[in-house]
Amino acid sequence: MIAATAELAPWIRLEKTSRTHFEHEETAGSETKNQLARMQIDSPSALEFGPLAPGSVLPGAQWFQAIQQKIAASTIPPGYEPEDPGSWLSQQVAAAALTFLSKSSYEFALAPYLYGSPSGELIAEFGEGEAKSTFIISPDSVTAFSVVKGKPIFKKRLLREWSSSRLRFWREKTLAPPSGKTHGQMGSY
Amino acid sequence: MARWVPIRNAQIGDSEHLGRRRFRRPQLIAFTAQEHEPELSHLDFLEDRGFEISVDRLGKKCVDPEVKEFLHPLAAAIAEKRAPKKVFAGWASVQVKRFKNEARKLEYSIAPDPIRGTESEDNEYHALISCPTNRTHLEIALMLRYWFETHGALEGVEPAPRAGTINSILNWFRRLAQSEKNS
Repeated sequence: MIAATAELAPWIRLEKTSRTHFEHEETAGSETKNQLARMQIDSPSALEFGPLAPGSVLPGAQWFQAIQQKIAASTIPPGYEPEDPGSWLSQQVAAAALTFLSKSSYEFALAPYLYGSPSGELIAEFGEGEAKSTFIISPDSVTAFSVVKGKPIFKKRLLREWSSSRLRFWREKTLAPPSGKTHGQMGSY
Repeated sequence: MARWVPIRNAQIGDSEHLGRRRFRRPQLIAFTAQEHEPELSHLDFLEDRGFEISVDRLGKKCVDPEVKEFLHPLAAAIAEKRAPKKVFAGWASVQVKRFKNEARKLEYSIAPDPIRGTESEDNEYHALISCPTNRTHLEIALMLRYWFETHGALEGVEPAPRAGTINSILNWFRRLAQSEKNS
């Protein structure tokens, strides 16, 4: 059986142009750089981002840098058939996730909680408690869901239709301060 | 205290606590230590087979530890039989009155549905939440998660305290009090 390590990662390749946003990558170790250079997103939408002004630092860039390698490391290597659905991502979902989360990192300050679904999608949860946004990422579309003041909001769009302005609109609408109408709280055991 | 048993064919009371069984969530291979893990996922409520969601009636006015202890082996055995195999991890619980009004507005309803099968499958605590058929399974799952998360709590699978255990603690206190008195 193939060991599940980051060595299995480079089945996704990142276009160099998509990395120009992340200034801190310039200071990354040569091993990381080499690994990133071997990676290239297969989806053309990875090239949608415009250049940044020199010296600008993006708020979400740091969390995106941390998770992009993990996404690559969670991608099913060619020829490997995982026994445990939900533990691995297909190359298509991983590419879509990198594209979407890269855009999201401009809008959401904190990293999402990420997990896979048995049917192969990647689920990204931004926010906590009552103010929460869930995104279900599949190869060509992203479904967003949130509940605002007790009313569900549900939007499914093609991956390329989730522009920065739409993400910003969604964030402002859904991650507003909670209404305070809770009746209890989650406990742990 | 004796285990609470629901009255046959009686409606589900507003004070009752309903529990949706949770299973250990698969983690992506490279995401094993993430911060801010959400307690509930919409996957805990996703039911592709129909528009009825199974729940357990966990107690009349509060969650009854004896009911949990009764249901635990049943839930664990059923989880083990599923393909792919699952690991039972407790319940997400909510009191009916906390979400009943919101649910009714959106055409959700709750009814008892005791299961009569073999001895190992009998579940008199089983109930069904009927969901609107004009919603997708995903919408339903996300809505239910919202109610259980906002108005409810998590229930673990720890064993209920035994009468014997309580008695032995009480006896220890009695002996302690007696020895204090004697000295």
